[in-house]
Order: sequence, then structure tokens, then C-alpha cells
Amino acid sequence: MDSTGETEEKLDSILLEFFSTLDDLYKTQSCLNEDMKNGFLQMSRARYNMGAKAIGPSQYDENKMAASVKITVGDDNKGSNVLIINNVSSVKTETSAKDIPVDTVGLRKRNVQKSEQDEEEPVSHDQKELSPKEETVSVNKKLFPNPLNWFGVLVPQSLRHSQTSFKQAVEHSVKIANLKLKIEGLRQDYINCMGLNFKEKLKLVNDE
Amino acid sequence: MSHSGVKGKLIAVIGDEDTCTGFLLGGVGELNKKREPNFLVVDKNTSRHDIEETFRGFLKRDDIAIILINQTIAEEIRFVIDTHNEPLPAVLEIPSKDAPYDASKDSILRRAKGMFSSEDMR
Repeated sequence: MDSTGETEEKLDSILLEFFSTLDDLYKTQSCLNEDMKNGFLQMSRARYNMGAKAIGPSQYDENKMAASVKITVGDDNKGSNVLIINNVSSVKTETSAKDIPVDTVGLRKRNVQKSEQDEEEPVSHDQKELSPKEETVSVNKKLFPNPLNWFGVLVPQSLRHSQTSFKQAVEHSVKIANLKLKIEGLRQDYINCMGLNFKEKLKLVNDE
Repeated sequence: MSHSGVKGKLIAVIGDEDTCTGFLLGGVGELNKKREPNFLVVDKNTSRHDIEETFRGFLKRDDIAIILINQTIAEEIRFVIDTHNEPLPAVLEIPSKDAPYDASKDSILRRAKGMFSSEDMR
């Protein structure tokens, strides 16, 4: 009886987790729907401003196409896959965060320069630090050209808004993929537990 | 694999013109070394066979982690999507400009619903 009770408790916990995951999935799905709806609306506005054929597959620049958003597949503790989003914007924020102290040091030294003559060394040190920073930014731009530029240099603001919406949509779709993977895992666990429960009950009936 | 600096797998898109353009604006587009794109723009001239072949091609590619597909297009190749049981690449059905998302048609959610039917007890 104990083992049956344990299995039933496990079944209950799996079911509770399943429904909470399903709830999260529905919420994230509605966020994705909203993002895509906004994206489509803004794209239509941009198309109205730029012309019907200005935004479409014929404008894609396949030579300069490089994914700025990629997925790293990791494992959670339970042995199932977890998808982690890996995009350039996060790399950029890291570099910009590193750059902030360099800028502040430069400003401080600029004030010192006015009064003292000994600043030549720190200034040259500053220049050394600034040059790699500029390089990293240019490398980023070369590797990951903004897809907005396929449609022109001065694109309407609505197309930029559309891009922002679709970037959010990408993030939400990765979340949904994770939730669906979790649901699939829970479904397998539930089926296994149900089978186990059924066998135990059958054994009990046979014993009686 | 791919040639961009960010490490990891790609997100593939099969969708109408606006869906593909939107997600490519979001930064998912890339060509691999064989110059094969990770997206397919489906218009009224695209045959079901082409969609099916591209989808199967995406399933075979090991550099793709997620396949986004418009639900209206997914309906056309439902039999292929239903047979895909592997966790990766994950297949996500997304709304299109013309048709909203309907959870009752989603392959994974229909499979999850089956948890409570008698078929799984067999």
C-alpha cells in the first residue's frame, strides 16, 4: 500500500507541476501573440510609408546575413534540455559596461591636465585603452550588420519599433520552447508513473 | 556550422513574408557554409512538397535548435509535425498576420491533452 501511495503522491505532484507549466505557457504564448501583432502592425505602417515592395524578401541581403541571436542547449538538473538565448546585444552591454570606468578615468585626467605637466603618461595610457574599445565596436558592427539596413539607411521609426517587437518575440519563443520541452518531459514522467501505478494495483488485486 | 561570431544553434523560420521579415529583423537569419538559409518564405506559389522538404531538411540539420512555423502552414504538413517526437529541434507554432494562434491545433498541446485520455493507459 505504501508504494502505491507514494506513486499516487508523485502523480499528484507531476500533475500540479504540469498545470502550473501549462499556465506559464499560455501566458507566454499570449505575450508572443501580442509582440507579433505589434510587429506586424508597425511593419505595415513602415510599408505604407516606404512603399509596398520596399519591405520584403527581395530586400534581404544574404551576403551580409549573420544571426545575432543563437541558442545554447544546456541541461537542467533533471537531465532534460534547456535552451538558453545567446545574443549579441548582451555581448555589447558587457563591453559597454567595461568601457564606462575607462571613460570616467579619462575625464578625471582631463581635469588634471590643465594644472600639471606630468599627465603625458596617463594620457597615452588612456589612448591605448581607448583604441581596443573602438576596435571591438567596429568588429561587432562588421560581424552583425543590423538587418534594418537592408531596407535603407534612414528607415522609418515604425520599422525600428517592429524590429524591437520581433526581438521580444524571439525571446518569448525561446521561453515557450523551454516550457514545451518541460511539458513533454512531465508528460513522459506522468505516463511512466501511471504505468507503475497500474501495475502495483494489479499486483494488489492478484494478491487478494 | 555557421559563420557568425555568436556560438550556439540557430532559430529557423517557415512563414509568410511578414513573419520571415519580422524574425529576420529580430536577428535570426543566417546562411550556413552550403549557403542554405535557415528560413523559408511561403507564398501562394510555394507547394506543400517544398514546405515539407524544407521542414524535413531543418529537422536533419544539427545547427538548428528551434523551428518557428506559422500555424496555418503547420496545418498543411501536420502529419510530418506529428511524427516528430524528438525534443530538439523544438517545433513552435506561431500566429501569422492573417490567422491568430489556436492552442487546440498545436501538436504538443494536443499530445499533452492525450495524457488524460484512455489511449495512454494501454
